[in-house]
Amino acid sequence: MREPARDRISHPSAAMETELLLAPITALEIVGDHLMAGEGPNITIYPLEPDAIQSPRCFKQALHNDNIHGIKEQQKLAPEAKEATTLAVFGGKSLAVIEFSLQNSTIKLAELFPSCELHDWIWDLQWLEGSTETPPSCVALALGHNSVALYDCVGQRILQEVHCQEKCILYSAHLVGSRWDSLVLVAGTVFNQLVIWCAADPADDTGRVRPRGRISGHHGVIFSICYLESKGILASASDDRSLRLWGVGNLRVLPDHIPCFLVCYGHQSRVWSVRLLNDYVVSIGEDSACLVWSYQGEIVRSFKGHKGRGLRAVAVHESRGCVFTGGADSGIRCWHFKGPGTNGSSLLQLNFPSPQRKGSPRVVKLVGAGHVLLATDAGAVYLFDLTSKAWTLVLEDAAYRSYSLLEVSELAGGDVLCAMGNISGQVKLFLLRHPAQAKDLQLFEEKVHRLSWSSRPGQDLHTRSLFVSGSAGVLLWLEVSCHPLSAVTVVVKRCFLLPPCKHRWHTCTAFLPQGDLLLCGDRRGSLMLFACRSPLDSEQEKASGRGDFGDSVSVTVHDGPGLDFPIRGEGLPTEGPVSLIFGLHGKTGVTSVACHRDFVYSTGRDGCYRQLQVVGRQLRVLRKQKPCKGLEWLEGLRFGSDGSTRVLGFHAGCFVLWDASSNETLLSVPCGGGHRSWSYTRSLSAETFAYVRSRDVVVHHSKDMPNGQRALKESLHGRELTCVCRLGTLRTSRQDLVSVFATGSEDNMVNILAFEARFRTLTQLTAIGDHISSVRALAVVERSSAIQQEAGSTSSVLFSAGGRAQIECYCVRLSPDHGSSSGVLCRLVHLASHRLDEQWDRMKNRHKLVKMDPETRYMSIAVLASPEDAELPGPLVFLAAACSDGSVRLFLLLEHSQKLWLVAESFHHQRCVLKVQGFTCKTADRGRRHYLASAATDGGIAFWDITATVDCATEAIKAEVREMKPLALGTPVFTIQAHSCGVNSLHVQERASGHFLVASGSDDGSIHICVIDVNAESLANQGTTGGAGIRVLRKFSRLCAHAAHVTGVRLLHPDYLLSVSVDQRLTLWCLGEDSLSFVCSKFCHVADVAALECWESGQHGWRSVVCGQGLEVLWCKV
Amino acid sequence: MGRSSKDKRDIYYRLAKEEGWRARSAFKLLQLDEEYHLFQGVSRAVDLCAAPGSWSQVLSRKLKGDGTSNADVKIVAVDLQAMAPLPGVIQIQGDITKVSTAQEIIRHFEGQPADLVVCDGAPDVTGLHDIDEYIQAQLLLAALNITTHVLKKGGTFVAKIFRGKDVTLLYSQLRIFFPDVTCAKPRSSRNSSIEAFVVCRNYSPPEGYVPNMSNPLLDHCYDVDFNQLGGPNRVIVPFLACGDLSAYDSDRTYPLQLEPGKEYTYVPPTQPPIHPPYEEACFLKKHNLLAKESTAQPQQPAAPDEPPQLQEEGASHTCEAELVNALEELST
Repeated sequence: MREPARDRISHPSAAMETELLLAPITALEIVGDHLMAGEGPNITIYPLEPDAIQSPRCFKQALHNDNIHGIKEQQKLAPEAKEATTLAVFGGKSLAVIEFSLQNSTIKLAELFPSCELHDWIWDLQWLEGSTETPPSCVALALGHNSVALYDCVGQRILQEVHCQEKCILYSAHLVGSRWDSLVLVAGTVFNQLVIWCAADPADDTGRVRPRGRISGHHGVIFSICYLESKGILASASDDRSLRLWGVGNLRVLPDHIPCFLVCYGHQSRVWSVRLLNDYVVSIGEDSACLVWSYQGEIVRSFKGHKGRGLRAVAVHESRGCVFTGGADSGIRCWHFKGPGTNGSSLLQLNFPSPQRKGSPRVVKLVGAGHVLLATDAGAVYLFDLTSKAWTLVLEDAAYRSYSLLEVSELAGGDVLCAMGNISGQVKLFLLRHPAQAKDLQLFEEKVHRLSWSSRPGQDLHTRSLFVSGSAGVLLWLEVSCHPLSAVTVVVKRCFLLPPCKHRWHTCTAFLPQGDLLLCGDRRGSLMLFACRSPLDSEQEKASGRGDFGDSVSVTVHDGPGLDFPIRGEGLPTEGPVSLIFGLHGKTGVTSVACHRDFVYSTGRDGCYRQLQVVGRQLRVLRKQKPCKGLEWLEGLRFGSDGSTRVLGFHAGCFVLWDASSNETLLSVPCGGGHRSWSYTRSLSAETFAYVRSRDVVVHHSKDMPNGQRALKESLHGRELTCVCRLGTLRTSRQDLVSVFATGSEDNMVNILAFEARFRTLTQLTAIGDHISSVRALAVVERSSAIQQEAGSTSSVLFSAGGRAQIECYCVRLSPDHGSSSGVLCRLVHLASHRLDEQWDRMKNRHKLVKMDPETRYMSIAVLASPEDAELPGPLVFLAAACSDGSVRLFLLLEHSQKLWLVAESFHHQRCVLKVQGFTCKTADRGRRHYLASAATDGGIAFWDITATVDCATEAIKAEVREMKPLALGTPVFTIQAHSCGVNSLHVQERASGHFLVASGSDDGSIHICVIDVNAESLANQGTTGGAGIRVLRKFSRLCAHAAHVTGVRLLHPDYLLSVSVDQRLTLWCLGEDSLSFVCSKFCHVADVAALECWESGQHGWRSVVCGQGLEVLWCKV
Repeated sequence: MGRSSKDKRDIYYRLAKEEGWRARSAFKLLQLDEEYHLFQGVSRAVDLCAAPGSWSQVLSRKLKGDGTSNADVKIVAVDLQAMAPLPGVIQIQGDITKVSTAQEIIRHFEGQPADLVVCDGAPDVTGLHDIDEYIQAQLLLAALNITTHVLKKGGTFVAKIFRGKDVTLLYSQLRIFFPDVTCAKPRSSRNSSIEAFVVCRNYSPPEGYVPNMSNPLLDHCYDVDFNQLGGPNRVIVPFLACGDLSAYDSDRTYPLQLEPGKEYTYVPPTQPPIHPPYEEACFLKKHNLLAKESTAQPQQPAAPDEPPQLQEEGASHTCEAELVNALEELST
């Protein structure tokens, strides 16, 4: 069941309708088996049962132009009497009463008493029992100026309002009691006090009630109050970042001094809300954490998973042991706080140190889920059985003292193959079952730097490949087979050479699915491919001979490499990589490589994982991803069958398991950091993590999913949205229309979202986290080929730009996909990056210097139409940027070298440039002339003719010029003073007449329209001199169009204009010859509106997206 | 980011420090004055919600000048919080919603009403726009209410306003007391900020209006004719951008070297905040004393053949001692 928020307007032929709203979750309340959420003015219902089908969820707009801040259920007099529950929904100055009923598992929300507006802010509401003085269906309201009102829902009027002697603005209020004559208000005042008073107490001669008690102690205003009658405890949460518990008894009789039981400092920022339970105290804060406290003041559980700045609402179901939190990120999550320790997990110290055991642990490896293998600095190897908790000595070899490597590989049938390496170049191979039959190979003369096992596709089940790094970059590939009935055989397959660098050894290996290429990462952060099969391979393998390493192992040696063991010196017949990306993960090294589906993935200690593709035996980076802030060492990826990606890594001293799909920490073990030896395995139902600490081994074991949390509603952005840009509309295999758009935010992220119009659902396709500062602008240019269009897919180039003068560029391919819930598959390839201050980041002694240049932000970007030139291999993508340092810059995308080239710049404005737009004009002889419009904080709009600059850059491309200094963009051909203050929105559109319409909106609340004529022919003849080419035909302003910044204007064909402002009005105007006439306006539920995007959808219909503190999708029809 | 980073991103923050203003907002009042000549003929001025005192500084410098020629000029600054003293400014630590505060102001003016009332007060923003705008509106209305007690007829009232969803309700309220209300934005106020200033001139309360503090002034409601929620008729006052266009641009990022030959030197803030609410929490955080989630302690496996080893006990003692020391430091 859906109840779209309809808002039909008086204008006979125009209508605007909200199709979807994502806003901060400002209220949560549990009613029976359901969770009620206040999302903007809407109330949404979610089932508490995790298994229940979550969509289509049920929602209803309860309030008109206020956000819901509270939902209160009316206690039923006879619970069995009625199926329906009555809810009071309030927020701001509004209040509505809604009936919620459940019949045959169908949820129904019906309006009992429509939303009505009071004279003051409602902080709290309490249902009252009917009595002689109070008619039934009465509520008590705690109002903004420390008063309590008795409100009759039926009559929709205030029967009585009582003020307190303490007159001031409140920041919070909490009503206690269900009868007017015993009603108590606890008010959190602007003076950092709690004032307790009773509504029914006699008033003084000024008609005000004297407080019964006051509580001081907080150093800041109080944001939330909770009272638990059974314990007689009052809790308060404050601006001073603490929560405090007070012994207030029954609240009616208060002692002179009210004792403070507990002061809890645990939040990193302000505390927004507090709830008291029988055994716990729950608090949420601006640090996005939900803390569960004991009554002793200890933090029992700490939940983090929401994005960005703060949680806003909390509800607790104590008997189920779950907390529901709603965030400013518009997400809702459920957390389980009951259960032993950290939910079925245990930490086991293995007590290795003992007189009976030699050495202290150096290397730890988990073998299956039940055993731990350990190598000590005394050259001994021990096995620990996690079931019987007993240690066994596996072997001991003095040659592996003080330095040893240990790697294990499990074979089919449960056999475990172990390899050890030592400082003198030896490698020991043995089956864990038969350690006595261990064989040593003297491979090198010097230290073995690294060992790794990999299994080659197509290899038989009893064979594994072992890679051994010696000195000088020699990487040896051995094939180790151990058939059940025969001895271990070793075949030397090949000898590779790693690229020269200081720490020249490999760190990880994996075969590509075809088995013809080996993927390898090294300590220097490089990623490379080695050829595993040369054309002569098949013959050579037949002709392979045998060599002797000593002892009695039968070791087959490949003739091909022609190696003598131990390997020494130079001049070896080694093979270099066929493809190399040097230093991809930086100097701290690559930690893992993996193949999954058609892609290659690598992780590194640079905090990133990368997705790559192998095209024609060459590695190509598609994109880089940073899972989460502070997770600086990534160690590996695990791909789930459900499409999930989990990242293993270290966050300071903790081992972390991070879910990249849901953006949450699944596991965090404080082990001391990633320098120690550790091992992680995951079986179907349990995860085990073993690590060496303080000369011992500790095993962390957790059953089930850690935390047991789930998202009832996915989050959008952690902070305010700053820009939105449409990528395309697709028809899915189910014939539904899906619009895809990108949003940028102050949380440094770009999200790619799919909006499905029929069911009005929004799905996140992917997120881009490459920005190091806030994202402020997006621009897109479509580049679909005819073949793609045929197949119903699109391809476009997306630019994102923002703080720290950073621009990122991607290719976004969208295609219908029936497998996914959104119906759209989105593939992203990173094309290029640009930073103005790149050199600064490379400077070595920068901590001693003061960076003198301005920290430029890009405020707006626009893609220009490609110049038409038959000699060019493909279309050229020029990007114009409005910069906070007062410049307009022009960039060119060089796709081949994956670079953005700064072509030209001008500091004409000398003020922060806020907006930029490009437009082109066709000429009869030369193709196109290119123009820019740029607008700054002084209200002026400058028009630039950039044809000469574009031509100059195009010529340079044709001449394949490599290096070029930025050109001067010169001065604009023409400027108009459109506004008195900063221009916050700008849109240029070509009219059928050939004229251009320039619409702009400003901080001063005005909208300016100007019609310009571009005479390209006359200019073409005289070059770029003078402003004769652009002529203003008409211009006019609409002052006071809005009451605040006009942050979005869009010209709509044929003669309409849509504008949106921080005053939260979306207004449709009709364009006249010299005026704008008001058509209709709609209250918009997104606060701090920052951007507007529109596209045509259907006849005389436009779909628009408004973003700011949330996101609203609207449908607008004329 | 270094400490110079904010100097680059916010030119007025830097200039305020260099020119000795307690806050960058000083420039806002200076620029408002450039446009409106607010200080002309003013000898009694009130600064409401004055802390940290930058507007009082401006009033003092502008009205008193060097202090000799304008001996009859009186400036009264009112705030709930304590404020570092300012020469030539009479300070009242009081509540603007109390009649006693209004009376005290008049007493300082020797029974005369004020010529100018300014208010740059803003709440601690919560990040939820509806709440922040509501509280700011209440602050403005409280300032307006006390202004009706102390301002002379024909006087001027200047106050900060958040231009949010319900700002037209405030405009209509102000219009009742002032025939001339404009919304002004100084160039030192950022383009991206919802903050602006209402400049209300020629105070003319409705006939028979008796100033009253026993009840707060409440904001107006939308109506069907003149101030509509969704219609074309709204009370929007004229807008004026203030300050010289050649002045520094608050949205622009400047290089540290502003003029050739003028070396950049870092200047610390003039007046750091006095006892901010987060003081204690920051202290605890700095000393790692915030409560943390108790982590699972390793269990000892009950191995059949070996006795479990004794745990070291030193660690917990030292931790306790640290806590005691830190708390002592805090209480002194």
